[in-house]
Amino acid sequence: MSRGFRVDYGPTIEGFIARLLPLLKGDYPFHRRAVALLLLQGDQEIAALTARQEGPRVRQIQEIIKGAGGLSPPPASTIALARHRKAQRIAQAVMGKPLVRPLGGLLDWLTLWPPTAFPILALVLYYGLYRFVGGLGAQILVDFIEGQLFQSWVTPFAQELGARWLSPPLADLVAGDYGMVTLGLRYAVGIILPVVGTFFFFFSFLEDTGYLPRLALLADRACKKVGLSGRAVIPLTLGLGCDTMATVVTRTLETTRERIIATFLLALAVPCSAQLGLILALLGHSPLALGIWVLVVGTIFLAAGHLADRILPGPKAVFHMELPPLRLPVVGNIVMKTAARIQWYLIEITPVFLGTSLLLWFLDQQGLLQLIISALRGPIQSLGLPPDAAGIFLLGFFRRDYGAAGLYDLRASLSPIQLTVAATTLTLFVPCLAQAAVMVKERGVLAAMLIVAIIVPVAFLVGFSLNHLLGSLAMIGGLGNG
Amino acid sequence: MGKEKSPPPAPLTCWPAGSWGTVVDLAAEDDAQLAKLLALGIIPGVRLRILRRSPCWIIQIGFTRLALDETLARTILLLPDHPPGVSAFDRDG
Amino acid sequence: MGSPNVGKSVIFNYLTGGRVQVANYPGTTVEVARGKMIWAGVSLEIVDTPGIYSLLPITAEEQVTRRLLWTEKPALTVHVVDAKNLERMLPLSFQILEAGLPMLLTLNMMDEARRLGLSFNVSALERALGVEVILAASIRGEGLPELRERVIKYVAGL
Repeated sequence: MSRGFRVDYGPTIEGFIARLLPLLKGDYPFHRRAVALLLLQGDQEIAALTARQEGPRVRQIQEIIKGAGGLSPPPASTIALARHRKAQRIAQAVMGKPLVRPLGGLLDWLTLWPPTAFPILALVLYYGLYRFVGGLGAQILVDFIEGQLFQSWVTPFAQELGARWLSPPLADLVAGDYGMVTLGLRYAVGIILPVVGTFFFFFSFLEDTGYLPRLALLADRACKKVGLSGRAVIPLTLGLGCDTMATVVTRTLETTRERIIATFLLALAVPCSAQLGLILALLGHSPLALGIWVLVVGTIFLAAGHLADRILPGPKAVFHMELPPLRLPVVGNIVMKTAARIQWYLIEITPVFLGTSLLLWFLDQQGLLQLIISALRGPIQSLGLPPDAAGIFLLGFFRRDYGAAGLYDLRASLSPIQLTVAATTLTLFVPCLAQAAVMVKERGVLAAMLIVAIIVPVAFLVGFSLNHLLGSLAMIGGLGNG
Repeated sequence: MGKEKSPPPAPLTCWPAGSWGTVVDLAAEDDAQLAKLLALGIIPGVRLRILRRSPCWIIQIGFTRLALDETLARTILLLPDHPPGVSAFDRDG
Repeated sequence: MGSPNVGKSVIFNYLTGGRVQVANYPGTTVEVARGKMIWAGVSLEIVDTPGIYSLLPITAEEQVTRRLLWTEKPALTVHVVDAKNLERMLPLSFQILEAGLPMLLTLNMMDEARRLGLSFNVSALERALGVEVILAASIRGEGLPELRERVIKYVAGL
């Protein structure tokens, strides 16, 4: 279909191509001229592939590539320029002159000019994340699917089935405290799906309106402070909905280094919607306690990101993004994209939740859960918390609503300081087992273990220091009696 | 316009918003960064316009706008059409 | 295939009718969507490649796309470009053609291009590249039936 198409790269590059072509005798799926061009641009993967095929000629090929590598300007630059020139010629020949001045418009300008851009950004995030995802998704839809469908229909039905057809341990596996239906499926479909589903819709909307790159570029400077580029604003905000999902989405970041930093920050200092709900319930009545919590978690976020940026090897994050014009989205396309993403979520994340409940069931059957809880009592007491809180911490890691409910039950017997310390430590502590599983899946066992090994002591150390700090402050100021 | 002596090329970050100029060189830190800039269409010989300096660098090449951070913008050596400060808004319209 | 933000996925969804499987490319975290297109008695596998700027890979997405082209030898590549930015997108077309892959060029987002007052001489572009060119505005469904027909015609008529 493409006979005779050719770009002329100028005498130097063409000379190198002419020297390479007779040496490329292997069987390649691309034309040999394209292979030669990739080699000249320093393509390592293709170099390795040719090395496998060209046997005795490898040395000669490498010599030529090395020679080309010393050129100034580099071959990649010359080749790109030749293509650009040809593209320019063709485009000018086939395109009519534009009648309208391109790009711009008032709204476009308003979303970029800092004095209006940041208020608009705040509005978009407020309505999109807080009202739509947080309000409609995390409250109304969760109440309906989890509260109504699961609690009134699915869970009783599974329990009924289990009781009738299965022996006790297996019945528990289906419908017990850690059952695959009552825990795994209820979490994946009842609690997380409404949150990520509405988030996907909001995200597709931002994508199709062309606002998403603006969001990223406005956030770029702030993100750089924690070693990330503006692109990271997407997983980080998603983390406020579900950290497990957000960890998967760190894939959209450009470098492994950025992905590790983002995964780390999500695990350490980005509370998910379940945690946020708990913390608001616990501390909501005391603005001071809530303020301390925000201050501590925010400081840890910034400090941890900054440190990770300094410590981790590799080039610093850079940001570039194409900036499309704002356009009116078509609802059908947004729905289609959202549906495709939800399907992807169901395939990727549901097994993680099911696997998690399987593991919990197993630990529970073997009595190992109790063992771990008693081991945690010491550290918990050092935070100035009653030993009973150990169970809450562990269950909070496995099953968030247990942690939440447990702490809520203990609320009456805890002082404001104890509550603040417990809430802060729980936020920093690894959020949940599903997230840990996804961390292993996405970043590998080693990176995931390293992250957990940093987070657990940091969480306890911060809790410990906070307890002592608040304790001494209370002695001076009288915060403790309330 | 265009009879004034052009100033010497300097990183894109030295020129004011509104400037038109020609990319003369890319001071990329490594091959990957160079390849990235080239693939984005930022190629020596190409003309571009600086649209904004904040909240990040926004340039226009043809009908495309690109947002770049300071690090990438600094690698682009630009030979401006006019001395800095002279508006280039009315050209090529 | 094509650069990011050119409307590839809308075209892909149209061709496959939404019967899509998304999976990670082996050994990477890059997603590749595959779907089946069944039309006029012909069944084709359609692959939606990650958005790329060049066949010289810098990002994981580009690496995956190139490996797909290299190992799966597609019967036809549909290069989707943003019509407004034809000049900036043609270099990728050149690379596909240089590689010797059969290609159908789709100038997408024609609605926006028209709003800018841009017009295109399709036959001149077809002559310059030696491949067929289609105009489309995928977001409105314009040009998609024609695209499907040409894909079928090309692949079945080989």
